[in-house]
Amino acid sequence: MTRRQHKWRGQLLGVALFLAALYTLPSLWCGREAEAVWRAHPAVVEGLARGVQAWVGGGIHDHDFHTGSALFNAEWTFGSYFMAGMGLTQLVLNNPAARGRYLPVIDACVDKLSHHATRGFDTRAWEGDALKTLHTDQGHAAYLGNLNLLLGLYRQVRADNQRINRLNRRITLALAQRLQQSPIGMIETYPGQTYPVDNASVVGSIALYDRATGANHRDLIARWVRTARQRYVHAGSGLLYQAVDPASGAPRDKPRASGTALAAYYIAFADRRFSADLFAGLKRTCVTSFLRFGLIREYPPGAEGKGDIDSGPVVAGISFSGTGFAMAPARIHGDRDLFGALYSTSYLVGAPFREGGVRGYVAGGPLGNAILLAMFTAGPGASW
Amino acid sequence: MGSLFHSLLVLGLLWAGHWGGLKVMSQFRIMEHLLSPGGHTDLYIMAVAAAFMVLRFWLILLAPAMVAVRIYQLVWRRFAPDEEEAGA
Repeated sequence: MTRRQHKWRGQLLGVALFLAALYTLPSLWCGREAEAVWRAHPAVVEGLARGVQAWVGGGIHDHDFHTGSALFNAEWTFGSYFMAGMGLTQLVLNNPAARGRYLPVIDACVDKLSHHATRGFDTRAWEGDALKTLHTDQGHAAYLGNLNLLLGLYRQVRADNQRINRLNRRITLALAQRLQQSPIGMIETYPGQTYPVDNASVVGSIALYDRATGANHRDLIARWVRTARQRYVHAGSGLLYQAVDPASGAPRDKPRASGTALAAYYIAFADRRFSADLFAGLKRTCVTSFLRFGLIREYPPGAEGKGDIDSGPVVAGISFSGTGFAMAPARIHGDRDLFGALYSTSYLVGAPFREGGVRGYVAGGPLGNAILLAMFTAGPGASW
Repeated sequence: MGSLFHSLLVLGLLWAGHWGGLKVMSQFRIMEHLLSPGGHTDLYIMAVAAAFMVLRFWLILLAPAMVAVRIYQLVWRRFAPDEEEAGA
């Protein structure tokens, strides 16, 4: 072999090695803790839980967020306490030994969520307080659905809190009645705005109430799932429409991944099969990858759109929220490979940081960290 | 060998800078501004957050492959045929 041939061969092999290393090493590095998170290993998950505990202990306020909208800032405050409560309660369900440490924090989340100041955004939108108008037909699907989901899950770790039990009962009965009376099978989040994903949390919360009390809303839940499958799941993609018309139920937005992934998480508490089907649609149409990092496209092939407050930034069609939310159904339905690929992405973009046994994602803030804790500890849903 | 040592030294310093950057980002919650829909519009905040992310992406995505190629080049050159062998 001449020196020239040797040089050319060397350069060719160098390029091949570069591409092979680029394809394997970054995702391996970023996903090295994915297995531990999948198994909810305390060393990783509890570090994040302590970080979320610190956020809750320090108080989360509207001015912590900079969405450019007072309504969304308040929604994010509410969402932070909700996801923190869900994540910590799921952690305790996975590891009962952690109950003593985290129950006071979960209590703090529930107190904050049920405080009138935290639901001020919802009260202003409806011009009526969600908890003082339970006898009316106002929807409040997001506020009541999310709060009630946490209350129902809370009862799995503490059954003797009579204040929580009464509140859970009042909200459940009101939501069940509103769903029963809705001609389209969905209730509004705000006046004139109906989101199937929020209704998924409503239905999930009713199922959790049934599990805690022995009540029976099976027919209502089955009817809702049947309606949702027929009217609110896009046939081509298997994704849930993001928004529908409150009067006719006609789609007002495209089928989207962020809402579908979150709905697959919520509805797993009520109907694991429907959750699995939503997750299958998400996998079939929205999962993609780059250098083995798992990514979720916000819109199915053939559809395009921008990001919004629900999906977060959409960059080159990739949904930040959808990518994070999809980790929950991946865990619930045992898709370890997809979970690992998505976890690698959350590590790369979220930039985790550990200090003194506390772990936080610097890109996340209170809401992002709380969401990740809830996604990392999700499942098994219907069997809790 | 000397150039590999220098490359690794620079890489180590950049990692240390990245780690320090994580502390700063965490302390001042800078990254959230980059990702919030109506987030901070101060140019310098955006520039700091973007520069940090570029560094992080380069360190994680590209640097390992570049180091692997650097090591490979050193090994490959050791087996280069000398002039006599090449002329034969």
